[in-house]
Amino acid sequence: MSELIQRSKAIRKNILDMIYTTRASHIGSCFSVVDILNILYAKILDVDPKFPEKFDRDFLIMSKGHAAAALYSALAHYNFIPFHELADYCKNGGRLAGHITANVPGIELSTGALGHGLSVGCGIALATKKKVYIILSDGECDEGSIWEAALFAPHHHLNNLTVVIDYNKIQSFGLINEVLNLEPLAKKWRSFNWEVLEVDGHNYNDLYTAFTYQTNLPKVIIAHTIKGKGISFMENNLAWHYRSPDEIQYDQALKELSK
Amino acid sequence: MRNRFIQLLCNRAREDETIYLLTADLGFSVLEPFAQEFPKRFINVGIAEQNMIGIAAGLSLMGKTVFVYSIVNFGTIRCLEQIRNDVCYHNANVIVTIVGAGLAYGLNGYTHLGVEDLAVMLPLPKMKVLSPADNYELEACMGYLKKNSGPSYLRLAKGGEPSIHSDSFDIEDSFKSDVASDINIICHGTVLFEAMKTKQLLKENYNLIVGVFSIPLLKPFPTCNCLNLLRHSKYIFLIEEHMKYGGMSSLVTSIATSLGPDCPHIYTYALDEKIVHLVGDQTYLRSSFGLNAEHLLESILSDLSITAKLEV
Repeated sequence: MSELIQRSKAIRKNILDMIYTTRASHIGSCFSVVDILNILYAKILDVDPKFPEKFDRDFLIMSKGHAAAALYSALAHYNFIPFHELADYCKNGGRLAGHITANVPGIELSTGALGHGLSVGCGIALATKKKVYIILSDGECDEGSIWEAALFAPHHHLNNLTVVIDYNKIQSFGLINEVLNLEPLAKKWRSFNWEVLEVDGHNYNDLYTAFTYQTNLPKVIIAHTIKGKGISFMENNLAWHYRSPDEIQYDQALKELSK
Repeated sequence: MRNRFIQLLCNRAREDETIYLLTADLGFSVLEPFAQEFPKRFINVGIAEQNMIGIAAGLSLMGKTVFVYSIVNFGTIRCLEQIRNDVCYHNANVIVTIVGAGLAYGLNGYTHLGVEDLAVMLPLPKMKVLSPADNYELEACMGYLKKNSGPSYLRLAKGGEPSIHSDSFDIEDSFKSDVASDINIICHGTVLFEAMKTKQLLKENYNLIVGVFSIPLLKPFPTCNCLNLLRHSKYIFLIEEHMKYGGMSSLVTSIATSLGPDCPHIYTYALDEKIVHLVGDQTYLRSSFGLNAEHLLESILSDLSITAKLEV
């Protein structure tokens, strides 16, 4: 797992560069989901960067499309796209849009409007025996369509479906429990007939155990994460949902990631 | 029309194993033939249209061709972003099939009127839009959908509509379906019935010959053929069960501007942008909104005479 930890720092460095260069938003949402993406590509997903569209593959849908930089960075680290392309993130004429766009190898679904990925994932799960993984943001669970799909998946025995909720406790306008409380979140999913596992979303052993846990139900992993994870002054700070670092902040962040 | 649709879909599903049918809990006593013959390819997702469109898009990404079925607004406006992002953005083989087009479900109140749907479906990139008037046109639409994959919108009325045509209909040559005159009617959907009656009344009572062109394929719209008809017409009457803005009338008038001085006089008979508080069946509402043959006749005569006076 120490390899994974080193890799996660490198992924975060690329994200930092991308967002610093383009002055884009959502660095906090990217940093909270990095470890989830990292372990998926390293240990869980049956995908092949040489044949990203081979029919018999696992599917990952990143429904929280605003954390695009995290996915692009992970795709570069796992050989789906060249590293130099990360420099085109959010640039005129580039293909790495500010929200996830599916004309990039390894990306299954264009997202950016919340509440779409789980329904599409249900459709894919109906038509494949392979595994289908959907990453949701916590704020995204405000969308009614999530709960339409949450009813559907257990009813249709979609036990090849795994949802990961990046539960960093902060949404666009404030704390989740101030804007629209999701609790008791595990109980809600359990009452919808899902297998529910709660883990530390930055602990690779916990995440691995949860991903490999066998069950006959569709599974939801509630990953307790930290918004802005990895950079002391960004952690648990709403402002970093939007802000991009200035030069001094960039240098400090880089220093922290190089430790 | 609903029952003919399901027959035609069953025929196609027998030849093509990728065909799926999804419903958001509508179509009782209509969809059963498909559900019984292809139980593994029929899913009632429950009353959840957003989820239905997302699931359809997901199935389509896996190589399926998915028909989804609902009542007009629930299958379009309710889940518009799913249609835009999940279906059109990904060029998914999803055919949004609705019943209750126009005023067909008038007795059920304004929630069930399909009079703004074209305004949201026509501008969607890659979306094909089909609005048949009878079972012959429906067959032509289903044939067209078989040949042309990708996002599509099939706008059906309900059941029991009369057949207007007596033979198969060439959907890609619909501007040749009648003999053009100086005065021509362009319409789509089941209101064709009223247009044909109007044509007959004008001939019998006033010896006026008009051409009637029913255009089920609204997108891709046969622009060249339409312009050709406009160029050779003095008067064009556009008739549709839809708001005046955003449907076929908007489409034709926006095309017509390119004709400059050759542009004919164009009149639109459709709904004004008002909430419909009237309760009534399709016949009653058509009459109330000037869309039945008797009112269309009056309007056409009046508009013709006003224009003629202005030109003197």
